[in-house]
Amino acid sequence: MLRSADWLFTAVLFVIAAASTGGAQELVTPVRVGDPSAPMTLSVWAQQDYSHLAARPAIASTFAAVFDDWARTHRDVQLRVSVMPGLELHKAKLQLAAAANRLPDVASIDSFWLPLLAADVQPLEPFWPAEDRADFLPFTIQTLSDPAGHVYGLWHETDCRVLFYRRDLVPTPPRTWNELLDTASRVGREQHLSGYLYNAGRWEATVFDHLAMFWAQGGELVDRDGRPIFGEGANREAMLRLLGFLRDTIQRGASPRTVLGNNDYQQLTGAAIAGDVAMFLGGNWQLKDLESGLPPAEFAKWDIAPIPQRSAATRSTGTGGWVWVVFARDPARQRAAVEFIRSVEAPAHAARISEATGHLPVRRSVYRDFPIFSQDRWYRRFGDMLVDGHARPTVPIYPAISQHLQLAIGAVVSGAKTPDAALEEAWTAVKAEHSRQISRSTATAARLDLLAWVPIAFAILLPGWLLARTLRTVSGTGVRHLPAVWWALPAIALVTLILVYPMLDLVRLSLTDSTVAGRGYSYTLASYRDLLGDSAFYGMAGVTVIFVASSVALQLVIGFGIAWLIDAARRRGAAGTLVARVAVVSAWVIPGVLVGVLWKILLIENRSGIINYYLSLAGLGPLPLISSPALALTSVIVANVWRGCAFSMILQYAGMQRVPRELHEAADLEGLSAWQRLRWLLLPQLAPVILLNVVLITIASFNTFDLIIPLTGGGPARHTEVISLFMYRLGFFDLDAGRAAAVAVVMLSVNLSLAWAAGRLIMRGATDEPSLAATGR
Amino acid sequence: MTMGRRQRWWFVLALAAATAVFLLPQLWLFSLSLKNKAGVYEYPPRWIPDGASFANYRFALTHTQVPWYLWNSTVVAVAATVVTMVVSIPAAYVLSRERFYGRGALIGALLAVQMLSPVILLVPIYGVIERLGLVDTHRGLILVYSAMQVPFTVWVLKSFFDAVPRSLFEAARLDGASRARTLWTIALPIVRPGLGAAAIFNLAAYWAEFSLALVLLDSQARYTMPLGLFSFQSAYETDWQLLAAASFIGLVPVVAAFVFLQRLFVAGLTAGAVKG
Repeated sequence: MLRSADWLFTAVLFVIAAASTGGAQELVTPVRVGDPSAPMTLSVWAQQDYSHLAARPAIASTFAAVFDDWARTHRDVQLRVSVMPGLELHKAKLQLAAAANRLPDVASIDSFWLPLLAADVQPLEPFWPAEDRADFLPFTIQTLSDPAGHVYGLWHETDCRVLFYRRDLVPTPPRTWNELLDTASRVGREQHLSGYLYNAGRWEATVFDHLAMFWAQGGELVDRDGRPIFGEGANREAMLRLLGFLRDTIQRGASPRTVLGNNDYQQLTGAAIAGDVAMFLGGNWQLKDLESGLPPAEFAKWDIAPIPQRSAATRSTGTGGWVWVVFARDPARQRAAVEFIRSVEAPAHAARISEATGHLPVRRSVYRDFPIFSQDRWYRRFGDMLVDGHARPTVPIYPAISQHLQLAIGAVVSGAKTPDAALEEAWTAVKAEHSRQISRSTATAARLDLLAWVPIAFAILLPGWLLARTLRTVSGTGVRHLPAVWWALPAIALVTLILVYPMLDLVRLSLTDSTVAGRGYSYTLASYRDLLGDSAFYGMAGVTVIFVASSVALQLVIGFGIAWLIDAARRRGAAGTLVARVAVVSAWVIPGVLVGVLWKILLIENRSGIINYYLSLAGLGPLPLISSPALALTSVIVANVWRGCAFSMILQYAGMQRVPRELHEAADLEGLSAWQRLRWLLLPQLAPVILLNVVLITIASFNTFDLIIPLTGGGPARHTEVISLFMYRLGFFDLDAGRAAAVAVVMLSVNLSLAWAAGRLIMRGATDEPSLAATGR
Repeated sequence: MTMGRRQRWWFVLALAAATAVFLLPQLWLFSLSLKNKAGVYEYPPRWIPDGASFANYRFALTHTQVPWYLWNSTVVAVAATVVTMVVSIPAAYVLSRERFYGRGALIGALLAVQMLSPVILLVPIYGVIERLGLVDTHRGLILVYSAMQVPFTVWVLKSFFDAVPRSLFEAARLDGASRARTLWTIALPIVRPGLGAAAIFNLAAYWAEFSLALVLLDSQARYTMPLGLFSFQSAYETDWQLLAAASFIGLVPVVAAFVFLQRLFVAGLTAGAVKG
């Protein structure tokens, strides 16, 4: 069946392709680039906005042309291009693929992930002549080389952070923190807008954007050996001054607390387009966004300046960027892969691409030979700023540093902690993580692990034992029953393979210090010790309890209420209840991540946000719906309730249909009001359904984190970080499989106790209520 | 049922208000999908933008892979639903109608397993699928999806089988019909609403699933709708108006399926629930 589905799919694609090309051989299609008959196929994991699959037409068509150029001259190779999801998820997928030996031949990665993939990236210099390498900006080669001189990546574009400002409001851009604070608070007060905005949400840019202010003071994150040193000596002083400055932006009224909700550059651009900000710390590519989002006269008001620093004499900016790397091990494939990369990044192509993406080229010849980069006033200035560029250290500890500094910045900006306390906490956490990394790297790699067979044995023995008992009993009582359990066997086998065995393996994993890449680990109880000794864990447990309790209570009451309204309306012969049901259910079938994105759009804190707009009209707002701790948690709960009510509604509505007609008729005879009927008839009848509903949605809420990621990312600081999100972050952001598994096991024990309680209740509610379980998700 | 006309109006009014609260976010999403980039951030925000157009929908359907995602999601959701049903029906049937040792334990175990969130198990599940050589295949995803919903589906179907009058089975037994024949000719036709209900619950769950698809699929050509929607968000910026249009396109099939099947579905749950 599946084969035929694949076949049908191919046929449909073929028809589409044939229709769109009129039969001509297309070399660049969404999934294949190159000649379909080419003998060699390379897999490529690309960035959405750096491929022919980009959502923006200008970028997509540029890449289609660039790839087409390559395909015409390389008839013996074809590519399978896949677009990876943004940032952290792409990183985690690469790690899983590395563990399974399934890495693509070519990938585009964020430059600072390189150390995570150090064991798998291949040197490029055998196929990449030195004279061509010399055309690239020196930092791109240095950052990606090892001491032996091997180069492991080709930097394909870079960017830098700048201060965007409105010339009509800020005639001379501030050069120092003090000037920035003065100007921003004055302009903000006079113009009734945000003086200065920046990223302070739970994401990488919150740290990276601000590192320039640390580096300019001479601060260093790590030493030569990759050991963290940002919490020691002069580095500590520099970091404290940076955190103090961020605290001052709020205290002096230069910035609103809403910056805590900024976990996407789009929100900065959005505020600028909505005319709600005088200055913001952003990235050079945002210029293109402002240009396309603003009328020319409005756009003309905007200008850029170097990032204000503590002292006007210093300059720095964070240069990020993406890097092509090759994982293919076979030399012929390596050669083909490097040829592809070099063709895409040939000067003429690189120039076209940078023009389309708004990012900055990294080739000297591009700046020299292509007029737009030497003459365009923007590119020229960005090019000047790159001189002071500073890349993040490519060391394994950097992602942990970033995670904990994100928390520190969140805590300081929200006023929850002093810079000292916040830094101390981050420093302790990073040091602990670093020592974990050290001990892990000394563990012996991939030996035969007998303990790994224990979950397998259990997974076979548990159902095996059950079956054996069944068969033995059967042999005593007669043959008629023998096949009965066999009918359940496919279900048992499937569940054992996909759910029970993984659950047992998870318990084993929680007793290791394994990473997601999974090479070399040892058995230890450290994960549980760390977890239970971590005060943040109890904070998150508190957030989880509030989240779960409010979600359950509201989903139940609202779901019941709507079901009751629908039922009552229907009984009274009202039409249109289908519309109500569809409205509620349509919220339920949206993927959770999208629910988060949708609510983030609704809750935008600048004046273009629809909810804040109406709050302002009502004289109540605007409110910091994402950036204040209490309101952020409320927003997350509201979004979850909005999504989850359908479940309770369906369950309760089904339950109401079970109430015998005679009871309703009796109520009619008694002349009970709707309220009396609810109190004395429905509630007692529905008690078991309500009980089951509570259990099911409790477990569902406990496992919910999907909508929180885009909405708040767990921020501000950790005020919306539920335990399931903490687990997901540990596994997929920090790649710490052992600790993630330990959290999962703790969650699992809670879930299973709830399941056990549910089982007891349902069993007791007995065989006459079997349909109650019928509505679990 | 002859309550006052006035009271009916109150109910309809309250219901309309509740409906509006639930629909407003989607209406705003729809409004966004009709805007251009500047319109998204317009102040004051407007529900019906100037120059509203379906350009984003046209773009999503012709210049992005959205049609493919729809097709992939359809294949995966339908196939997984079929597998789930095929595996669950016989299990539910024997658990409902037959008495054998370990039945109680199996029912309890199924309920317990129903509480497992596959998201917790992502890394070990990836390991299993990788060892089966099914990473980056629809078959692997279908396998995992099917398992994910089997416990729940068995519970639903069992409750429907429980509700079938015992006398019908007695008659079949007296006629000497085999178990398979009894299931096929007697039980299944009666529980058809239950099958419909379970199917739509499963379809909806598979349609919206994101985390497993993210981990188990590598190739763009195989991405499902939620994954495809997520890849509209780039590392730096997201064009919300386009994402909104694509989301709406993704919402239409599943909501349509619900509207089409909901009669059957609610009637089904009801039928299963009213047991003699």
